[in-house]
Amino acid sequence: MENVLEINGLTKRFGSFTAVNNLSLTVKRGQVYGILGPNGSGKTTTLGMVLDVINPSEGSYKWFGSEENQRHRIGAILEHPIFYPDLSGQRNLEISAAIKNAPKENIEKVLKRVELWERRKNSFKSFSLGMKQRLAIAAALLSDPEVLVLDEPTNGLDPQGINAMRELINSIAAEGKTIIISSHLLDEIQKMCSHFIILKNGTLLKEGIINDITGGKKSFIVGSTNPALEQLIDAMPHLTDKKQLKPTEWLIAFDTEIQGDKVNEYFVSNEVYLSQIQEHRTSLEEEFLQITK
Amino acid sequence: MRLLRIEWMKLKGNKSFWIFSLIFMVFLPFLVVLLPSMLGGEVSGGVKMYPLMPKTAENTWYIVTLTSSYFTMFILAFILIYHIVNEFNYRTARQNVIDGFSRMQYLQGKLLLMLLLCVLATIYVFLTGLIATSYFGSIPREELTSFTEMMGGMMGTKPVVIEYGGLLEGVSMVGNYFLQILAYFSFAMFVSFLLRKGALAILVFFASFLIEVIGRGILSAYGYETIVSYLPLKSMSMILPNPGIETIVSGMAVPNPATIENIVVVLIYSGVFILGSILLFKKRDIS
Repeated sequence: MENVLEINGLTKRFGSFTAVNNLSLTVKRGQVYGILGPNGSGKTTTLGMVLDVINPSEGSYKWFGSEENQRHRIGAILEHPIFYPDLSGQRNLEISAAIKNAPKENIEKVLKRVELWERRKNSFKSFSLGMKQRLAIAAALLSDPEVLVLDEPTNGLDPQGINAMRELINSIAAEGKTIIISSHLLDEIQKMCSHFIILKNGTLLKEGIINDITGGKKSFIVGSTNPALEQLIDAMPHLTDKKQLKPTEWLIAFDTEIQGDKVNEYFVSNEVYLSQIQEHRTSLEEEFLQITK
Repeated sequence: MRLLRIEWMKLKGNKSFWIFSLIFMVFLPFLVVLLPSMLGGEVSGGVKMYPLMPKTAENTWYIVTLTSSYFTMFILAFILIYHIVNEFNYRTARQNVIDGFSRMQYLQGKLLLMLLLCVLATIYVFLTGLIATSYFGSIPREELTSFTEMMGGMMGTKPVVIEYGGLLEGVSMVGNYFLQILAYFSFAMFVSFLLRKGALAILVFFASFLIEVIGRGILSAYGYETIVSYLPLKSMSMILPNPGIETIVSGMAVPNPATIENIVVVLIYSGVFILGSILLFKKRDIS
């Protein structure tokens, strides 16, 4: 798969403060790539550097394997939606289209897609936050970009707005576009992304695949009053981790796919009858909290 | 053309731009044509006096370009500064780059806009000058010059006979005007990119004239007269020198034209300010 974005040792210092420290990563075509991190972890600074509005202190990046300006192939929103406040939604998109060299006909298409066509003549400053976010997505989609970069796209939205935004992003991802999305909302990343990195204090803490955390390896919560339970858990094949949740309840994890009935069979064959067996999926949030603690 | 078209798309939706442009277009002819005709009249015994009315074509072009230059500095430089710093206030400069402009393209757009403003203002000033010379040139000489002639008679000197001259006599002042506003705009652009804050940039732009006047005073007091004429704003003002009182009252005097050396110095300053704007925009983060 083609590398869409390669970042090598990117560092940004503001005086003595290091916002991003020696960051390297690769985003491949078709990935929905999440950049996770608490507020102030360097997510926006990283995206600002690869979008050429923040000058890196060290390191480099390449879009599509080139150091030349490739931003006409990218649609991006950094932080808040930014437009000329006195101009209408349509006039603002006309400016964006002219900058992107995108055909004017695309304006109607993208405004309809984000359901703003009816409000196209209203000034940007009269829009609600949700509408502003959708207009920003429309602007990002104007040139039918190969990559979409979205920085905290659901920030400040109400639950309906978040849901609508998520559906919109998922539908864009379904078209095979590469999406780079930053957020501190873990649930959001888990629902939308295929790959992720976790940043803290500008440093890369983990890079991975969402399925590796939330799927693949299986975990179970098992419970029994039988005192032999712990001994049998220790003897289980492929066991990678165990954690006592209550005196009679354990969380057990395996390094391979395993079915619940096989786990039950194992205990029954050893004359321990489980009062409880429940499949447990690790959430990104648990992984995140563990890594960033 | 694409860059200019984009700048135009941004400007045309801005109400302040239209208001200030209208003020410039309406008040300039008022100041240089209507006001001098309105101020004055019969003094006594058929002698008329129009103190602000230029008596020669050359003087007309000078007054028109000089007044326009001040007016341009207050109105059009304000539009330029306001337009540039607003892009930082609204963060649209940042969004333009994110949308696909290289930083250089963004700057080129602003430079072209600045140049276009200079050209349009110069054309407008030229047309206003043509109207002014046509109008003042059409006024009967005896009406326009009777007071000057009377004064000459009273002082025992030979009555002065004033010829208005050809309409385009002194039109080269329009070139000086173009050069001067180009230099002022370059400076305005530099201040805008340097400070990136609306009110502050406007304040510093106008305050810098005052600061330089004080600086010139200090330098002169210490005998550094030679340096004074090479200071940026002073050298720019020398392109169209400030009027002496005799210029206004006589309506005939014309200042010493700018020297080649002066023009070169101003062009160098303009280049430095433009280059400074480019470096500031390229080297700093776009907030």
